[in-house]
Amino acid sequence: MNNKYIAITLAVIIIVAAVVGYLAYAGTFSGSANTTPTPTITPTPTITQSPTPTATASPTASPIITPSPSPSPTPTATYAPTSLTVFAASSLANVIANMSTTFQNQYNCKITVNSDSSSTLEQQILAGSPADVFMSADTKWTTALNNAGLLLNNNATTFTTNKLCVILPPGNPKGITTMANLVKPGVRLVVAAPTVPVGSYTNTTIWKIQLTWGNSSNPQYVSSGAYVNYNATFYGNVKSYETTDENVVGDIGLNTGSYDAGIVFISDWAYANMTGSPVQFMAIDPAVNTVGNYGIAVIGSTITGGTNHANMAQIFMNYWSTTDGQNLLNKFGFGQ
Amino acid sequence: MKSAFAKSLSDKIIIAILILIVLTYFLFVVLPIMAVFLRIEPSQVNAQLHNAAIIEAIKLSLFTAGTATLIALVLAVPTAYFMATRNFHGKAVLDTLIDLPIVLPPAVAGVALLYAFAPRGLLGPIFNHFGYILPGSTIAVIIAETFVASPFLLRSAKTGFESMDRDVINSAKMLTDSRLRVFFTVTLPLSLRAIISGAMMTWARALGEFGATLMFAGNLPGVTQTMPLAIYVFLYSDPLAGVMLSIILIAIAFAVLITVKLLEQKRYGAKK
Repeated sequence: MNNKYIAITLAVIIIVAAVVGYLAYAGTFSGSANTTPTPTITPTPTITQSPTPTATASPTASPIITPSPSPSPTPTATYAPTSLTVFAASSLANVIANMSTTFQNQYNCKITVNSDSSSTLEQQILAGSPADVFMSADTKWTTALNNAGLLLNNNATTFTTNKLCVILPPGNPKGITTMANLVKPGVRLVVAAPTVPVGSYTNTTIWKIQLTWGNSSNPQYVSSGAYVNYNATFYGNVKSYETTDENVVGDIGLNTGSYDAGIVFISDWAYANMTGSPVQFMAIDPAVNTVGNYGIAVIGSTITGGTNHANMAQIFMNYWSTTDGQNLLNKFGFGQ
Repeated sequence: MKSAFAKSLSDKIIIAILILIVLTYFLFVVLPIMAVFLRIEPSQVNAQLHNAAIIEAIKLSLFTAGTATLIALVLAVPTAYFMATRNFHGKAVLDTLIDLPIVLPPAVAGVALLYAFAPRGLLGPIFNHFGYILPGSTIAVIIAETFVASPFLLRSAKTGFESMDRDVINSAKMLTDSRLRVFFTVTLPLSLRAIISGAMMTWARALGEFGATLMFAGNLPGVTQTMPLAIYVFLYSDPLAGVMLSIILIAIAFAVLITVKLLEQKRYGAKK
């Protein structure tokens, strides 16, 4: 066969493959552009039955379109179609993905999530990125935006918390049951680097343990001395610093014997658990645990779609303070 | 029939389009690399070169990549010779298997090494018996780098052995009974360029190894944190240090690739 024809055939195949790939990605074939896998959790929040999104937790002055309490089978008829861009801390991406379809059906409002580290998102919003709602893993970032005058009604709310936990490989081969077990010789730990949030929280908790349980002049001192010099012994057992929570979960869940314990957020463990990871859970005493307060706010400066748009952002924000919202957060490991 | 003028015009248009494509592609590749260099002021370079964390990562990288290259020379060059000079059943399959690490996604390479060498991996019991745990050790870094990078040397050396003039080898074999002597005095010197360029590619690839190292060996400063891992971590905390290490890696990669190119030009130039 002539080389020219082979070349032309190959070029055609490549072009066809590229076009098919593009069309498939754009959703022409699959019928849906949203390919994000969302874990199905039952029962999903049934907002239909609680038509009072005005939560008690957020005393806001803005008027809110209250959905009519009539059991209409097509609630979308009540609302003009709109869409919200939610800037959310990475840890919240899964829980939002879980409620967004129900929310869209209920309020005729499409949720688009931009998830990244909270500090990055705050910088983006400050720089004028079009965010409608900001959900931060630390209230310090919602406060910062409030100070910059970017929030609707100067209103930011703390809507949930997150805490650290210890995760163990299936079967817990080293028999770890206490924080003291983590610093025994030969125990191999994997944690997040102190430069990422979960690693910084871990560092805080390790210091708290040394300064309370490991400090002989503290009333909470543990007389066995297991926690004396805890910071040095703990980090002496660390065999790897990961750059994301997911990597820590993966290192433990792979169960290759490389690591005997890791520290992540409870929400990390909850999500790993519901997606089938075999990692085991060990709670950390609230006395030494580090709590992250999650803040939510509607960005007033970039709400451009008129009253309906702003009201929908407010309804979305208020959802998280409802019983349904709180129950959903609890399922995903928050607020515990 | 087209007139001569129309023909030369259409030629010119084609050449103009070609140049446009070349420029676009060239910019596409060069611009991101240039962007890294623009992130650091020349006055900041000196301070970064005295950053202890950077020096530690560089030292570890040079040591592990060097060791991985030596191991690859010992293992891959004889294998390449065998593959180049023998024909046997299933040779194509074996050849492909050995090449696999080049195209494996880093995560697959990492998890494969874990399943093979970690305490609960296939060979785990053997290492456990001697009380040795590979993940989290410098040896694990060297294993990961050898696994991923040695096929480059194998391929290059094999091509070198294959392209050798058989008559020269056969003549040499008539002069001596020792195969080993023929190998070291004739075969090896004749394919030395291919081996050196292959070794340099292996070394450069080992130096840039990231994914398999992170997964299999972990990330511990001074023990398993090589330059690429340090870059990844620094970009979160100390971007300037990350940029400095990136520049060093880019410079090394450039030097290696251009040396390989010159070596290969000489090799093929000699044939013409």
